[in-house]
Amino acid sequence: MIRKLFLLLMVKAFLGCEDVIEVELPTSETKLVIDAHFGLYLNEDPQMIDGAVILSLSAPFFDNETPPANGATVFITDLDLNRRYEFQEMENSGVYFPKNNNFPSNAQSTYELTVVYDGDTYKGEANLIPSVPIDDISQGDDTLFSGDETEIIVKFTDNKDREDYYLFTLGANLYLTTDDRFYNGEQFVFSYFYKDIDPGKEITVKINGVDKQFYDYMRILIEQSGQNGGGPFESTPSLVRGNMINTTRPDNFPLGYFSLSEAFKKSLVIE
Amino acid sequence: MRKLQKIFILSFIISAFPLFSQEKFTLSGSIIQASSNETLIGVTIAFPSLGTGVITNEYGFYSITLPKGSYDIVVGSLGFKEIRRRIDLFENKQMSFQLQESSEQLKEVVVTQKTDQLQLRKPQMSINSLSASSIKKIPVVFGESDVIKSILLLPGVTSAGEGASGFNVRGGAADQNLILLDEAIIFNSSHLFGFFSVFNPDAIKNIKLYKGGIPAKYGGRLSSVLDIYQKEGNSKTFKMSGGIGAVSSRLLLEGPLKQEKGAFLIGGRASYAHLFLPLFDNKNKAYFYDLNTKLNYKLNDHNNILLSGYFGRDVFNISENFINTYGNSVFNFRWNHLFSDQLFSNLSLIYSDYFYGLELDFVGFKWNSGIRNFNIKYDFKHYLSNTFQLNYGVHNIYHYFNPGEIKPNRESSGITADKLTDKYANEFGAYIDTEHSISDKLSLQYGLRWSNFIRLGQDELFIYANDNPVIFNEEYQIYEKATPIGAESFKRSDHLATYNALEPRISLAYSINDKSSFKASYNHMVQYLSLLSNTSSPTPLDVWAPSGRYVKPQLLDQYAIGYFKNFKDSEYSIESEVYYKDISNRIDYIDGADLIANDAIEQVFLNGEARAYGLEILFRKQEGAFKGWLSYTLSKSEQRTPGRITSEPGINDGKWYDSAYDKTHDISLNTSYELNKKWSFNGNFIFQTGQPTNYPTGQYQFKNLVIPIYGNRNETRLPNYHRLDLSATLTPRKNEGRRWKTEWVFSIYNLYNRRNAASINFSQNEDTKMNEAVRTSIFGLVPSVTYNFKF
Repeated sequence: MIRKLFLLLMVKAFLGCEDVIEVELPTSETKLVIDAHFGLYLNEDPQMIDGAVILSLSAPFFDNETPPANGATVFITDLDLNRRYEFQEMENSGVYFPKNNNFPSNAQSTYELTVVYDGDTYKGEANLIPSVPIDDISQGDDTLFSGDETEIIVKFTDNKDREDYYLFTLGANLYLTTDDRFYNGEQFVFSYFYKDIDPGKEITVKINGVDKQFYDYMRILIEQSGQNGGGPFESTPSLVRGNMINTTRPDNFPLGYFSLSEAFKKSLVIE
Repeated sequence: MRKLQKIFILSFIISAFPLFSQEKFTLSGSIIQASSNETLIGVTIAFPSLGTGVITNEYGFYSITLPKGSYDIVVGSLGFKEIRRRIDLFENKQMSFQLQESSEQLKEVVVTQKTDQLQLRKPQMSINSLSASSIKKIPVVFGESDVIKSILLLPGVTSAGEGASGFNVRGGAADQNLILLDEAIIFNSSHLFGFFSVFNPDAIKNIKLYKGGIPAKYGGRLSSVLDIYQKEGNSKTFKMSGGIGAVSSRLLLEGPLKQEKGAFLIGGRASYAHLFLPLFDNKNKAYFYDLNTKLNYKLNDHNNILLSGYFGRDVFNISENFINTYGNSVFNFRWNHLFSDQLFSNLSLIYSDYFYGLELDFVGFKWNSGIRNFNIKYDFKHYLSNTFQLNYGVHNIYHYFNPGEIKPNRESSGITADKLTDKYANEFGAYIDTEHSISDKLSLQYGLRWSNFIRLGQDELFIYANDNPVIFNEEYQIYEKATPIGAESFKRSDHLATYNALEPRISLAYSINDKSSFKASYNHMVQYLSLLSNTSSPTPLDVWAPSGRYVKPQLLDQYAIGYFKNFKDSEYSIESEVYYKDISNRIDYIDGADLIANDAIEQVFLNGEARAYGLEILFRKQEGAFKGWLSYTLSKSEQRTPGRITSEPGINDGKWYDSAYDKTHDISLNTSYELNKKWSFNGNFIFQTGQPTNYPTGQYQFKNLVIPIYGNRNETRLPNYHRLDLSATLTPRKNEGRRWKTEWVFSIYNLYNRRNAASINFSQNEDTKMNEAVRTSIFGLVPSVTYNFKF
C-alpha cells in the first residue's frame, strides 16, 4: 500500500499523465474460478451468513465479462461431524447457495468444499476463523491527497491471545487486509478514505477473521486488481494459487479460494 | 589483532621488492588549477622522448622515477593549457604545476579521459569519467543537471526509466553499484524517488565510473564503482556560484582559510517547497535539500588534511497524514601523507548513514529504518619506477542495520512499539594491486583483494527445521514461508557467519600501434550486502541486509575484451568492448513476497544465479566546435532460480528469464555545438528497448474484484523508450572582464513530446466497469530555464 502511495504521489506531483492505450495481449487457457468465501455473523440475531460458492471461468483480459460456470455439482462436507451440505445453482448464474439454511452448524469443524465441473473434481478445506467486533465507525473530516475524500474512522479491539489476520470489506469491491502484529490486544483505530461518495449514502464496514494464507492471498489479489505492470515501484506480478486442488487432473489447477470467516459489521450514513 | 598481522604481512611483501639502482631519480608533486588552487585529478605528465608518463591520482599527486637525465615534459588535461618544460632530473625533485584553464573554458570536452597514446596503453578499461562542467551542459529535465542522469548516456548504463531511482550497469541490479562520495559509501543516490540524484553538481570536481576491470582497491559491490570527488574549495580567492532553476536553487561558497594553504567549501541546494502546490492544496509539502561541506588544510609539503561532509533529506508531508523523510549523511576525515617522494598514502575515517522515516497518521504510527557504518581506509600508492606502481591498502567497515522500528505517533494510537531485530556485521578488505608496464607494447594491472565478512551476533535469529526457511507446498505447488522452530540469541561478539574470499583482478593492454590497442580484463568480485527489493527499481523504504546464515554473498566473474582506436590526431576515438558476466547467489523472491517490515526475509527468497553479456561501442569526437559521442549497447541480462530439489519447480519453472533491467538495444547520442562565444547548443537522443514486464494473459473475478492473470515472469515488454532533448546556453558578452559571470541555460526535454510508458496498468475502469490498459507516462515535453552565476 505504501508503494501505491508513492506511485500516486509521483504521478500527481510531476504532471505525469495517464491515458488508455491499446495493447495486444497474449491469452492463456481457460480456468475454473472458485470464489467461496463465507462470512458468518454469529452474534447477529438471527445469525447470518454472507456468501455463496460462485463458479466462473477465466476469460481474455479485454472481454467485458467472465462467463459463469453452470451445472456444477457443489457440496460442503463437515469432516468432523461427517455431514454434507448440498448446494444448488441459482438460475444459470454460476452462483451456488446451500439448499438448507443450516450450513454451517458447527464452528469448530473442518469443512471441505467439493466442486465437480466438466468432469473434474475440485476440493479444498477451510476452518472458521474467529474475528472481533467493530467498536465504532464514524465520519471524520480529514483528507488524504486530493482534499475531497471522505474519511471514515474505524475502531476495533484486537484479541490479545491470538495472532489475528483481518479482511475488511468497505464497499462492493473495496477491501483492506491487516494483521495484529503491531497492535496485538489493543484498540486499533484507522482511517479509510473514500473517493466520490455522496452524502446520504449508507456504507457498511465488515470485519472478517481470516487465516495467514488467505490474508496473503487477498493482499496479493487486492494489489493485482489495480496492478501497475512494470511500474518502477511494483514487483513483477504473478499468478496466485489458492487452496483448491483439481483432484482429477492436478495440472489443471483452479483459481480462487474457499474460506470461512467469523464476521461483524457496522453501518453509517454519510453526512 | 588478526588485522595487525595482515598489515604486517602486507608490508613484508612490499619490502621484499628490490631497491633501485642509484641512477634513478624521482619527480613528484601536485597538479593544481591556477585559478583556485584546487588539485586536479587525471592530469597527464608525459615524457614524449621516453614514451612514458604518469597520471595524477585522486588527490592531484603524481610521482615518477626515471633514469637520471634531462627530459622534455608535457603536462596537460583537456580543458587546460598545456605546459611544456625541460627538466633536469639529476636529483629527486618536487615540482608542482599550476594549470591555466584554456581560454575557451566552457568548451571543455565532455569526457575528459585523455585518449592519447598513454591512455591507450593503460590497461584500465571499461571506465568513463565526466567532469562537473560537462555534466552541467547535458540537457536534462527541468534543467536540473544531474550526475546519474549524465552517466545514463554512457554505454552499458541504463535505468528503469524516468522517476526510477538508481542505475543499472551492464545488466546488473541497482544495489550492485558502489557509489562513493569522497570515498564514503552512499546508500541511496536519489532525491524525489529518482527524479534527481543526491549529488550537487556545483560541489563536484570529477566522477569516474568503473564498469569492469575494477581495480583491487574497490570491493563490496559487483557491477560498478561510481567514484565521485567533491571540490576542495578555492584557497586563493573567495568565490560564490549558484543557480536558480525550475525545481531547485543552488548556492556554493568557497574561499581560503589561509592563503594557498587551506580552503573551505560549503554548498547548499534546495528544491522549492511549493513544488507540488499547484496540484495540491497548501497543507502539503514536498521538497528536498542537501548540503555539501569541505575543509582542506595543507599542513606542509607532506601532509594534507581534508574534512568533508554531506547531508541530504527528502521531505513529503501530505496533509500531516503522510509524512516521509529520508536521506544520507556522510562525514569524512582524510589525511594525505607522503612517506617519501614515491610513497603516497591516504587515511580516511568515514561515517555514513542512511535514514528512512515514515509517519502515517491515519493508521497512527511512525516508522524508521536505516543503515549506519564506520569505515576506516588506509591506502598507499607506491610509485616504484616508471614501469611499476604498487597500490595497496586495508579497509574496514563496521555495519549497523536497523531494519525497522515502529512507534505509536500519538496517545490514542493502538499501535504498540516494536522493533525488528538489529543486525551487525564487519567487512574487512586488504588489497595489493600493481600497474606494470612489461614492454612498450604490453602493460598489465593485476591485483588481489582479500575480503572477509563477519556477521556479528544479534538478539534474535530464527531457526528452522532442517535449516530451511522456505518450504514448498506440494499440494498447492507454491513456495511458502516456513514457521521458525525457535529463535537463538547471541552476544554481539559472536560470529553468526563468516565469509572469506580472494578476489583476483587483472587487466592488460596491448598497443597494436600508436593509435590503437587491444585490452582485456577479468575481475572476480564479492558483494556481502544487498538491498531487499522486488521492484524494478529501488524505493526509498527498501532496506539493506547483510549476508549471514541464510543469505549468501553474491559472487561475480566478469570477462571483457576491447579494442580502442584514435583517429585523426585523437580528434575521434572509438572504444568497443564485449563483456560477459556470471553471478552466483543472486536471490529472487517467491511469488507474492512482501518485503516491507519483514523480519524474516529468509522466508521469502530462493537462491539463484544471473548472467549478462553484451557489446558496447562508444564513438566520440573530442575536439572542435562540434563535439559529442554516440554510444550503442547490445545486451542481455537474465536470471534463473531453479528448484532446490527436482520435485520443486523453482521460480518461473526454473527457466532463465529477463531481469527487470534487461534492455536489448540502448542508443545514446550526445552532441554539443559551440556557435560562438555567446551561444552553445547541446542535444541528446536516447533510444532504449522497452523494459521487461508482465502483461496479463487473461482475467478472472474473485469477490467482485477483476484480477488479471499473469503468466511467467517478464515475458513481455513495455513499448520502446525514446526521446530528444535540446538545450541552449547563453553566456552574455558583458561577462568578459568582470567578476560577476552569468549564464542562461534554456532547455527542452522530450522535444517531440513522446509519451514514454513508465508503466501500463491493467485494471477495471471504476466508472465504465470495462477492463483497460492505462499507460502512465511521467514527462511529456518539459521546457525550462536555469540561471547560473559565478562571482
